Amino acid sequence: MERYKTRPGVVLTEICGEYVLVSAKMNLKLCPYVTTINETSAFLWNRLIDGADLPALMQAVRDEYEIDDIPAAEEAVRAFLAKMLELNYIIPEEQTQNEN
Amino acid sequence: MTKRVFEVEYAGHPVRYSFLFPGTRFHFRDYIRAAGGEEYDIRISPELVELGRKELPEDSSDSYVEYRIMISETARELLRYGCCIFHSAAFIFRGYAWLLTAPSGVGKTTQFLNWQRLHPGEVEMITGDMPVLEPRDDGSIMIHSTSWCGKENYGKKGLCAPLAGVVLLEQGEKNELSPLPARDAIFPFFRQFMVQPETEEQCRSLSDLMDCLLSTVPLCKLINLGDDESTEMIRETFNKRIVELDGGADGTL
Repeated sequence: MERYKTRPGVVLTEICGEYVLVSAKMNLKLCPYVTTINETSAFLWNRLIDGADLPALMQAVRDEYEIDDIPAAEEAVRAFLAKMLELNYIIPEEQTQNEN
Repeated sequence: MTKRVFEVEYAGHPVRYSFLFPGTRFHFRDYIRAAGGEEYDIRISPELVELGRKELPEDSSDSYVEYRIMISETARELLRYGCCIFHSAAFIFRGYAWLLTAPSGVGKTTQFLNWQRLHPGEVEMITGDMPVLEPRDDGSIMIHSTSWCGKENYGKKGLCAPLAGVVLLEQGEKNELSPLPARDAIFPFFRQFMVQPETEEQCRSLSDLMDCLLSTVPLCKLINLGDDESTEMIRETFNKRIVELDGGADGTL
């Protein structure tokens, strides 16, 4: 099952209505210190923290935004995951198990 | 031998230091007092001193290097109280505190000196480099002095005032002042806080302070030449803001 975890030391905050990921110093060389994300990404980030896997993320997007277009929901989730992986804010679960 | 512990108060919050070098105490001289007991909040390692030395002029003394490293360590400690140190020139104009923020060398002190020359006695420096920002329960932010006053050493112990506005300075080929939307201030302002948090709790504390800062007072950006005209633009803007504050109009710079 495709599953990702948020990187320890990265926190989602809200500043003046903007969703902002703030990363602690231990991630200095791994990911950006500060990044703004949109509302959908913030929603998905919180679902990742809840432990959602890929199908659960897609279902959550469909429920939250009342999307009946399954490919569109999948595309949104995959774009979010790709962006977060690129910035190193999330880690594939198999990698976290290897690190442990 | 047990090291002596010293204490400095920031916005009413005591921070206890144990120094590696006896001379470091001297750099805090107007602000520091001996503290009882052996417990301390901050003590830096010799390794950190060597790292910090690389960021400073070669001829910096051990005590000065330790003193400078204490800025970020103190900023981190203050996050426990929701406060932090913000790299800026902080001064009082007509009873309110104003911040000019920018990376080093962009012209924060130049603006202050221009103002003093053009309008003697109007402005008083809280600190030329590293004020403490303290959010209050009423939603305001108080600006406090520290011993870190910049290379020109402008500042005065004990000065504090409520914050009324922040100007982000940029050097340019003309003078242009414009409102700074909060979302455009997030990145540059995070870099002006003198700390990168070490824990998730500190990340949240700093974000809360940032939210307070960006939502409490108007912000503007001044691209400038560092000349008299640019200083007058700031003064005019602050005067308008004071009229709004005293008259209850909306808060735009």
